[in-house]
Amino acid sequence: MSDSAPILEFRRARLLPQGHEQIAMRDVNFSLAPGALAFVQVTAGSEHLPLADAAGGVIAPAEGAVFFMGSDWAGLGQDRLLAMRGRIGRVFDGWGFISNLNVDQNLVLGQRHHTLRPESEIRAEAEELGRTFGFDALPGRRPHLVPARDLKRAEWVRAFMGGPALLLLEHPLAGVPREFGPRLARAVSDARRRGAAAVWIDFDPPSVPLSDLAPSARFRMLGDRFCAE
Amino acid sequence: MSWVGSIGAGFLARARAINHVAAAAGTLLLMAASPRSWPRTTRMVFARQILFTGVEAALFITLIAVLTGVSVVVQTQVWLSQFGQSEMFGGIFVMVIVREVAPLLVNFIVIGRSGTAIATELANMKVTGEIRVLEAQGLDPLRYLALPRVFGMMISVFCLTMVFIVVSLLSGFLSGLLMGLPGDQLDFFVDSVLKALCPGDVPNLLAKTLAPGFLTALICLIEGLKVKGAITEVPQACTRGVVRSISMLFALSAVITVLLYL
Repeated sequence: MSDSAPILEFRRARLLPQGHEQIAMRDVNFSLAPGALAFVQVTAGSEHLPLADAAGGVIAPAEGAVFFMGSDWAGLGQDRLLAMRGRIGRVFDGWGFISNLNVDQNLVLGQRHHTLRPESEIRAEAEELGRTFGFDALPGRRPHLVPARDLKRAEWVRAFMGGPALLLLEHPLAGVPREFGPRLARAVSDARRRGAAAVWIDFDPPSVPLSDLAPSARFRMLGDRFCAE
Repeated sequence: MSWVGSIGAGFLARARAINHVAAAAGTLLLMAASPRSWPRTTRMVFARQILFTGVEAALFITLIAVLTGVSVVVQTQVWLSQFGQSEMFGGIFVMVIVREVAPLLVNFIVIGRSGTAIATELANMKVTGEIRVLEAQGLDPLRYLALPRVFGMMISVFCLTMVFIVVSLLSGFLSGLLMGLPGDQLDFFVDSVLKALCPGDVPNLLAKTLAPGFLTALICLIEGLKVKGAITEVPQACTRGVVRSISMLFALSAVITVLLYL
């Protein structure tokens, strides 16, 4: 992939809802170059989108195509597809943890699985990111025993582990005290400077000022149509 | 649908289910042969499965083995001594405990203890969206969830069965000794058992522990992952996993016995 090639590209994609909470999307057509951020504005009642799942190749579009780092998700073999997903950091809309692992184990799971980095190095990176997002120590208990506000920030830590090429942030500030918002915005800006692209899905107005996020493109839903602003 | 049609439909459904399990088993066996399928995350789940199914169940299995040994060995010793047939003790012990009861009981306990846990855990993971969370992070559920569980369970069942046989044998002998029954010479006891063992007992034990252990985990995994998304489906998946595992266990046990000893 050349430096100017898009990190993420949707080509006239139509996405079907996964579960009863999500809405369908059509005319999803945009690309994100390295360093770009797309802000997707949603409204109450249509805030759950299949966009991040399609961007990460977890679901296939009903029509059109989705490309990540120049490769069509639909054309990738299983091993390559899984390895490519390891380059994506994500904050999930809803539950985003494995219940039978402690939160700190959840945070390092992807790096332990996809890389051969030493355990101590992975752990040190997680702790450093934890301090960036306001943790004195990473939660070492099962996710169901950790307050929701800490869980969401723990997802931030996981999303930035290993220097991802793409950040998929679905309602990343939901339930998090406002004072932490600028920390996430700064971390996203730093990642963009390093060449990562990002998709931020949030209500309008978002919990952090859009001027802090400096989006390269803004989108919103009109019914099931995905529209540029 | 006519009653003949109903029977046919039921048969086809059962055949499809068996085909599904066989395809998954083949995939996992091929996958297990590749070192790339065993990253450190998978190895960790594998170790935890052995800890849960094997190590943590060892005490309970020991207790059941002691009680079984006392019952079976004492009964056998009493009746054989009365008929003056003490030399047959080894043969009967091997036939009852080693060939049938030990693998069956251990598999029963593992189905009840670990099979239900696997089906419930996987069904809950499906309902709460944790399977999607794994996939989104690039972790293959087959490699991360299925592979370590089926092989962990397989090895655990074999080891627990060995523990069961040794403990039941010793407990039976000691209880006989305490009751002052004839045939209480240790060397006679051990010699009688060893003489009764035949070469076919090795494949019998391997087949009746490794195969059901593997298949129990696989069946419970499949049933757990069949859940669509409602929490009420979880206990149903668990029940189906147990019933199908027990059916498989008895069918497999009977087939192996017929193939090896007829």
